[in-house]
Amino acid sequence: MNRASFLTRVRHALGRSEGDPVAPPPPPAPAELVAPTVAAADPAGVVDHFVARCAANAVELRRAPDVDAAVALAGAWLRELGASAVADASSLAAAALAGSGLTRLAADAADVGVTRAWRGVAETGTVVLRSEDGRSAGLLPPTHLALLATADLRAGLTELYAELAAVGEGGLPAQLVQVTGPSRTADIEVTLVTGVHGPGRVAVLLIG
Amino acid sequence: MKVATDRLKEGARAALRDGELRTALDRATGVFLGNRQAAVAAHPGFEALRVQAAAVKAHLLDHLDAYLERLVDALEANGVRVHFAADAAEAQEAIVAIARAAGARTAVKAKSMVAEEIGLNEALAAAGVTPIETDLGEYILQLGDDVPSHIVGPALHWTRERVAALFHERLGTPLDADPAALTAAARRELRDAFLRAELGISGVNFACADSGTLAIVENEGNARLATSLPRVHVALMGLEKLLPRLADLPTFLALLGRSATGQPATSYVSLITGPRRPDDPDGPEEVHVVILDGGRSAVLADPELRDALRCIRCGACLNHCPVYQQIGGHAYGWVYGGPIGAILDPGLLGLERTHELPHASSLCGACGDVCPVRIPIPDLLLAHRRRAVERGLSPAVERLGIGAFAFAAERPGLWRAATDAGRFAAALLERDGRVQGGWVPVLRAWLAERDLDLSPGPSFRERWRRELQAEGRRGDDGDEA
Repeated sequence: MNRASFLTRVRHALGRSEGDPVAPPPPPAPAELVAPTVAAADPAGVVDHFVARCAANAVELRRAPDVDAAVALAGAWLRELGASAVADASSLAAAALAGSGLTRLAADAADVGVTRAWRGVAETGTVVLRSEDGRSAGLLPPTHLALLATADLRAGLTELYAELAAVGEGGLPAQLVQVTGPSRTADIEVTLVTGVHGPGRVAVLLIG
Repeated sequence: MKVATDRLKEGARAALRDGELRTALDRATGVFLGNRQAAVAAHPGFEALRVQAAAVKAHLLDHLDAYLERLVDALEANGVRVHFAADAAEAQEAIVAIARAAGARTAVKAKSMVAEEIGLNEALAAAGVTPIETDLGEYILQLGDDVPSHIVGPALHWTRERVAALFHERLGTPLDADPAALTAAARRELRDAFLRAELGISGVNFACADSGTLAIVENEGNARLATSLPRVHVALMGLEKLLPRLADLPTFLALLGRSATGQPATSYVSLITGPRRPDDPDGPEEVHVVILDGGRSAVLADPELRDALRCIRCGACLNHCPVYQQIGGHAYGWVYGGPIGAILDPGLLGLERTHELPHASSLCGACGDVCPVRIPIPDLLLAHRRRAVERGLSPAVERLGIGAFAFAAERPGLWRAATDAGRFAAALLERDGRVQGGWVPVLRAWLAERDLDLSPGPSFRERWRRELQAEGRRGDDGDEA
């Protein structure tokens, strides 16, 4: 079926005509409705909330005061997490990998993937990865280490999506992924198992 | 998927005799219920979010033509190729053509109810493309030659022993492997498929009309892989799966995870806005979207039924339904089972083949109470039942019985005589405290699927009369003051 006849069928089903006006949609839900327990106005509270949610999501979290300390800490942490690693396309992850001295392998062979996180969401303990940094490093290895700056932390999904909406047409990355804890399944007798297709172990290094 | 919605009673009977199925259902729905309850209790704004989501979806459906147009424009501006399918055959045809053009020999599939709906696997196989299910539950079912029984947990009717036996035979895992070991075996097996497949197929949870962004919600990571690794990605969606704006997603994500599995956030949400960009290190070179009507525009055209299209496929109504809890999803005879299936299937497939489904309900109302987009499911169940009667689709015995009931209920004297006679007859037919249908034609049919306990004492009317007499008022069938 072509576009015109497909849309015409829907239009007729609704008893509408081409060009009929669209009433404005209800305004999006206010932030406090989506995330009643975290407020953007309290930056320290946002960080605390993120740290607590990561713990609840079985995400390991460590903190570094600045980028230099983070690169050193990430290198040491990577050595704890595996014997081989891969980094995404960000310079931060590349620096961390170089500092680790680990063997570099392709994403489908490495023990650990280190990535930059473009954003974090405190409400849910989520890190957001962006496709221009690459998709494989945070997806294929059994362990994922994400590097997140506190400046990139947002209180809730509402704040994150307001930012995305403001980016506007053509400005969004081809893919963004919200990562909230390890890969999970409960498809066998509702027994929780982690690491089914994505990383079973997720670590976040919070910078700043 | 083959339609067997006219075989509800046979399916239910078989399910009720299947002890293993009942155990699996009991366990799974119990866990889903508990998790949802805890997550909802921990979110003070949950009810207000339901109201918000219902309003947004209702607005969307009322103006769906305009939003579809916006979505398609945005998708095309993002470099996504859009295909329109009036029915299952056209959707199959579009995807097979994409697979052929991509030179695909294998296609990795993330979970998509619409793919089940249109029987995509059969069509791909017939075209020489091997479809590989990658959601763990779907993978089990594909290996075991079975079909999903639940929107969120497709294989929840399988016990771990049965999965272990299947994997032992097919993948060589030990017979006593636990769920973690079975899952690890599936990961190894499927990782290889992800790396070599030329085509990735996914569903869509939400398509945002303003930005042309597709949101795909999951826990396993198979949807991330299927939409990231193969050179070509096809997303398949029903025409109702839109949201007006990207900014509506937080509301729907907050509701979907909590309603489905009790998760404040699922492990992954992929937001796809087009194929890989020139500077991206990886990602699919082509992204296609296939939009399916498949009977939905007919549901849209019916103001009484339109609300059913708000559904976001969380499965909460299945988990909370006392009938689903007993008979599982297969008895409903099609891809959408449970209360949502009982109102959606008649709309999509027509009432002729599906009019039994709205009767698979005690009308307890739990489905409507838990629905994150507040679909008035009990009202829609009744609407379908009423239409089935109006169109003469309900069984003659039932119409006869209800007709007699209505006639007597309007005539107090007759009602009293009939109930007295009924109580007398019930006492005669009682065995083990239950009334048995015996040889009585209408009664036998009625009681074949129902239990009727022998009334233990005087009827309500008798007790009412006695109370009034004790207060010195008239206690007969005349109007009381």
